[in-house]
Amino acid sequence: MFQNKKADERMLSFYWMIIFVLITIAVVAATVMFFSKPLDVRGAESRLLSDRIVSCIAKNGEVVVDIEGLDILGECDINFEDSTYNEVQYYVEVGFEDKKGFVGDENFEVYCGDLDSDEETIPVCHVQKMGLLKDGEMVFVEIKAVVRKVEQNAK
Amino acid sequence: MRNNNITKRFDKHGQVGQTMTWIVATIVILLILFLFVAAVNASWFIKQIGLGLDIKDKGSLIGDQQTLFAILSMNNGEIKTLLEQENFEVAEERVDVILEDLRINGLECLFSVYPKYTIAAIPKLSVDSGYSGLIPELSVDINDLEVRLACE
Repeated sequence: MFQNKKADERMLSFYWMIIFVLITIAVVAATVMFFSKPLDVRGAESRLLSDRIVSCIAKNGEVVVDIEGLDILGECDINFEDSTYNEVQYYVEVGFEDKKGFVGDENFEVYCGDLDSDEETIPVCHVQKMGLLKDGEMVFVEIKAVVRKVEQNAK
Repeated sequence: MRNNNITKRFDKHGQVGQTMTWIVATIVILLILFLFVAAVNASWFIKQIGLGLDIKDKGSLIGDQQTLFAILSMNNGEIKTLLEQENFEVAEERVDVILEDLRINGLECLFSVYPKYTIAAIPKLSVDSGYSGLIPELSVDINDLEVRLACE
């Protein structure tokens, strides 16, 4: 009877060891899976970029720069250089009435339409529309900010 | 002798019950582990807890803020003055014209005025040009009023 009890305990220890190993494998596997997935931050990046442009062109609801001949990079103190890429990964457009000023790769503008495709494999666009005062009149301003960086963010 | 048989039968029943308990417990543990790994692997889970960075579809508070300032400052602050005087009828007419102008350009907004700190109350003024979102987050205080605007 004593010996049987010892055998039971050994069996139980073996069982606990297997369960412990399984739990460890599951936790490690889940952690590796979670952190190996790319986190797509281009949406946030494009939004921050367009917010920066808004802060730069408007104060207290009024346009404070010459919006028609706007030097976006210089006026808003933005640098598009990225050592990871040889080509520019951004596009920023400031639209005002029928005119527009832009900087970056113009080919990215098409991604600001209503594209119904896999969003991880195409550049991400953030469009910001607002009404601002210019010489006392309400004008409509549209800002488009596109971030490509597909290689870093797509699976 | 008879008592021994009964004890053995109960022992056997007890062993079967104990074994079943262990088997069920093992299955439950394995099931929980499987669900844990599957949930982490699922892309929707990553998006759900995407560190709050998946914000590209939401509107912009900075853009709305500038639009709200522009509305309040227009015509030497006419709407701001009307709200300070609590002349909501005239203010509504003026805001309606501005929001309609913005709507034509593709910007649908909700402009509302609440008594301060009572967002759950009925607004004193509400002009909607087709905005379908929630109550605007952005607000500006004018005396005892909260002026709110959201656009999409």
